[in-house]
Amino acid sequence: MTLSLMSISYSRILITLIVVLWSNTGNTRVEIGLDGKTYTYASNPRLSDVLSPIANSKDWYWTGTAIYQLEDKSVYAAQTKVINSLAMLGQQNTTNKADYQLIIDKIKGFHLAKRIGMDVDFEQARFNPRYNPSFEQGKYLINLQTRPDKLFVTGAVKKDLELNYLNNTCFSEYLNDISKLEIASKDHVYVIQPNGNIQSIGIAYWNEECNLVMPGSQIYFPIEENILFDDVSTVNQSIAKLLSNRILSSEK
Amino acid sequence: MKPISIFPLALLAFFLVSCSSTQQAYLKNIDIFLEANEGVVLSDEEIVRSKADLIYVISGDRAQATMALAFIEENNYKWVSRDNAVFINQQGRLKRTSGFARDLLFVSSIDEDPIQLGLGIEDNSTWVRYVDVESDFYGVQLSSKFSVASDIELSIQGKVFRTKKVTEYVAFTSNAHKNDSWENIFWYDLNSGALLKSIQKNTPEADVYQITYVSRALRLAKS
Repeated sequence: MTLSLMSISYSRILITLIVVLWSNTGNTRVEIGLDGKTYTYASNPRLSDVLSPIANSKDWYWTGTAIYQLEDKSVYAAQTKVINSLAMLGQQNTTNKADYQLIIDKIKGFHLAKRIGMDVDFEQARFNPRYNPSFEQGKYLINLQTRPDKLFVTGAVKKDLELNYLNNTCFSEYLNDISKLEIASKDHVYVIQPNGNIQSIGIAYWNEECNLVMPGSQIYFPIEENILFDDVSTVNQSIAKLLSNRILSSEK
Repeated sequence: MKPISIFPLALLAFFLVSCSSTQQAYLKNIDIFLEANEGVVLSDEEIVRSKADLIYVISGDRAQATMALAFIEENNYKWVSRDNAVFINQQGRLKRTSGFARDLLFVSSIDEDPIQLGLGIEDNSTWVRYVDVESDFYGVQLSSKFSVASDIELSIQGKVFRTKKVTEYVAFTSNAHKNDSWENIFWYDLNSGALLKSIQKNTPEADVYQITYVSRALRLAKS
């Protein structure tokens, strides 16, 4: 009888504790896609806790790791804006309207999600609170990968390509494999590194130098910029920025 | 870097409680040794008293600092400094850094590195690998040839060790940079085979890292 009362008493305490902890979490639900699996949390996990189960399973290329906020739709507004700008440019340049439409079709096909602008590194996350944020309620994707072995070409090219990454190879050596559209810039391309950084590199005879691009980079061939269409430069930069929010097929 | 969210205070307390107790204990332990990180020289007693293994690190022209062994995971030794700079090495070979101005991001074919053999490394061994180092050394090639000299004296904390000195002659090849060459050096205790000291770098412009395994050395001196 006494034992039974004690059991009931412990049960009540346990239930109370569970209720308190549950109410503290505010019914939070965090869903995170990571290395092909989906992890669900009833509370707000820290980045180091999320990465911990798989952090040492492979030699990850941490610099190329991105976190995407899957429910943030702002990136689609940016996509629509870029598409509208390209459509307008196509109307102004009827000779090459089909080229603009081709780029529009590519951009419509991008798998996009809002990338959170932060470096992801398991060691920094567990040693340095600054790099160990907690996740708010929502759905996320963390694209962990080992060192990439591809470069992804898009933009003002006849066909998007996945090129095999070659060590110690200047970017200019890839150019023979790439067929540009009429409207493509002859001067430069944008390199969108897997860490989200964007840089412009020269490809013309007068500005070309050997550039060793980061493995896994996207190469955006911009539309030719000129003084008659000064909006083009803005559109090119917007597309490069949009690409930093692109989830590549190998990361889905 | 922006945090993903501002965390509610009530939940913050909950998470502080649920933090890894192992990590907390470790951080408190090494705090005293990493407090004055620049130009630090520890007494034998301070080194022996530390529950975490310590190394002295001289990075480029900077003064001597200490780093503490935080984790050994999958054969990777992870050392951390007071300011959260991290070395990850495998059998003494630096394979990644984090928190430095120009981090080492990647080293290919590290399992083929003769240094992985430790004391068993043979004269005239060779190794070719590609490395990625911030911010524009991607896929650059390093070709090494190793030379071995036995019974070389090495002094650490006033203790003299008989060592096998391995000199690695590194040829750096990059289509985007000027080719270069330099020497990395590794000292192994002849009796135990333990690595006691190394001097290494990965690209011409990178800092040279001089790493001295002081805790390890004092344990050997005592045994």
